Amino acid sequence: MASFEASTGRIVALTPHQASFYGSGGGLFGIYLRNILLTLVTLGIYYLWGKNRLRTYVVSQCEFQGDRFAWHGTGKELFIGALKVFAVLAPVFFLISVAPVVWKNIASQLASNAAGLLVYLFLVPLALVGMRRYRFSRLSWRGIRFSFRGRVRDFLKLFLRGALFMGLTFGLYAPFFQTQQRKFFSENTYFGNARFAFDGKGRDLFGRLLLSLVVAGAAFGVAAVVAVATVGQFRFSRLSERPDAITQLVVAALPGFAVAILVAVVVVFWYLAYRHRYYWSHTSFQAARFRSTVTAGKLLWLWVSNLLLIIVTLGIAIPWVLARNVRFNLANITLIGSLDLSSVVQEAQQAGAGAESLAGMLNIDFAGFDLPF
Amino acid sequence: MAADPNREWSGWYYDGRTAQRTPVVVHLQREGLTLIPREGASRWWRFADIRQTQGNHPGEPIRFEHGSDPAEVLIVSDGAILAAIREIAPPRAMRVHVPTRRTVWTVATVGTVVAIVVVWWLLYAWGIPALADAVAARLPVAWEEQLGATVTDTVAPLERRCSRPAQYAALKDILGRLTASGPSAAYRYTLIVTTDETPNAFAAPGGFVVVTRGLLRVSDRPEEVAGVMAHEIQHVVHRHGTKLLVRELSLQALVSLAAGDLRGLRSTLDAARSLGGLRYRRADEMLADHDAVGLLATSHVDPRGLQQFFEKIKQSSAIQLPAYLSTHPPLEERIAAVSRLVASTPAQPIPLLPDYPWTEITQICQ
Repeated sequence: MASFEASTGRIVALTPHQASFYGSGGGLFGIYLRNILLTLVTLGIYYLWGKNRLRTYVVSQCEFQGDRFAWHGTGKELFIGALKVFAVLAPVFFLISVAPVVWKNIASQLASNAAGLLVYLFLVPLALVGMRRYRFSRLSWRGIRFSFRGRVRDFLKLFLRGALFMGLTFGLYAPFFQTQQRKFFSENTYFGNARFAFDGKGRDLFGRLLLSLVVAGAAFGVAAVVAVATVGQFRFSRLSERPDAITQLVVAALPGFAVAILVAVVVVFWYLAYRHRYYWSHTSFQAARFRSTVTAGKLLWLWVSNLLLIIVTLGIAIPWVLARNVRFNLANITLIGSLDLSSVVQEAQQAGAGAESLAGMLNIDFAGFDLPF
Repeated sequence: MAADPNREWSGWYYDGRTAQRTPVVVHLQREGLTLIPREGASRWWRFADIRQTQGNHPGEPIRFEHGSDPAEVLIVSDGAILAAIREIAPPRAMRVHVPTRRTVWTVATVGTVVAIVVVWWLLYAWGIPALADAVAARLPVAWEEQLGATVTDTVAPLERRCSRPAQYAALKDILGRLTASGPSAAYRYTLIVTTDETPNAFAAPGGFVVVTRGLLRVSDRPEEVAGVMAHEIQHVVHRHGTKLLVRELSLQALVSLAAGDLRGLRSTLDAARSLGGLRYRRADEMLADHDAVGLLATSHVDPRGLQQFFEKIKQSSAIQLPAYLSTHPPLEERIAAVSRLVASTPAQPIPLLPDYPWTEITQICQ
């Protein structure tokens, strides 16, 4: 791989750097098993220690340029964080879930809705930012900590504006909203004192999304037309008098709609794979740029095979699925270009574990700048 | 401190300030490690200041951290260094996780889990029931009455109760005769007859005796109903229902707690309102039969009524077995036990309701 260096007029070699995952589903299964058992016998308290143990394993099995990543979080800090968050938020959750059931009056219903809105509009952004602050601050490579330095206030503005536009445009604003979030998350992520950069634009994705929607919509439209044409001999006004006619209509419509669903799934994966490649190819670190080799086929196969694995094994294969996902992510992302690691200096940032616990309680996880842990 | 030339490993050193790595040779000594780079000064790390943070899993390079954050890091690929540290370092100088010793840890973990499960099982099978029984035995009668009222409100709601005065008075007479004296007199009894056609009877805590019209229909004389009532009175006196409810609630609470599911607790409380779904223990049933015969004899009621009722149920395939008879102990066993008791219990029976036409008793619901 090579590129033309304008400043010197030389052709310079571009070094591809790729991370590897050395973990195994079996190794993860042992940790899962132990976590489940200890969580059960400790009445759930071990859960947070178990979560940390799992993370420690996954992170330490990832290697880049011959060096493993390291996880520095502890179960104890997660537990303390959870206690603090619980103490602060217990009244809010009480308002949302218990109050309307117990009092059954308009005031408690209104208070519940207001608290629910409050949670969505403020706690979700807070958790999304705080979770990143926590996770990156506990992650290191070559002894240098990562960090996330985005401010909640800035993200809140972005989030509230995005949520408003999403509502106004019936979701068509999504590529812009997601790209803004991606930019915020990427550009506030640091390795030591070196910052990641992102130069993607929402408008570059908008056309693809529109095309996906048109194709999926057309597929359903064609399916509907085919179904109606097939059963054209039925007089719809009399359908209610002929139950067998309804059955025939359903049977006639099924193949068309099955094909339409298939087309929609393929189109969705086509868009998701494109977005994945686009986001990574617009993310850079120093003079090196990421590149993703994820394709719709690869992504679809990963999802389908993971789903089948989980269904067939009644969930026992979850650790293997996790290992496959991490391996897939690392195998399909390459960093191309030269890295000047000698210029990277330690700049560890403080971050509490409270937001991580909050994210757990709100059931939200990493999205956007998707490192595999 | 002189280095042992036989004990050296190659590794990578990271200073915790930059992302650069430096190749080093590591010498093991009794008190710590010496890190010698190709150029520059050596570093001396005491075992007491070193933490092993990676290398717990097979194939994982060994990672040592030294000092407070941002820590210095040493990575050694050869896992044999851990066994060597164990050998050379004083006991407890440093906590070392050797992957080959993971089997020991796995066995210890599984052993601990098994031990905890056994403790939970003992608690479930023995501890909680014993505790629940002790608690139930000490509950005030007033509390039992409230509990019983809740149970009967659910199982025998008002709209399904029968109370035609003449018939109800006749049945109250029977109950009155049985509860006039002895330990059963500690409770105020409430008789409830339901419209249910399945022959059944049960006692709720606090003195509630519930009888179905189906049971009245299959009985040929008042002594048979008196036998069943005497049996139910024993459940009240021995607090079997109360113990059962407390035990069931405690066990469900324990299970919910173990599963970390507190929502289950509320549904358990709802479910427990129905005593119909619960079953007495074998010993409780045998005790109730035993003491019922004694009660019948002391109340001058013919104890053969109970025996006859059981036999009738056994012979008649048309009669659906009452829920409280359908479980263990087997009916044959109970009939045998009751008949032995009846034969050995001296009784001077005075006929119940001599002037009442018993065939009219089933009209109680009209």
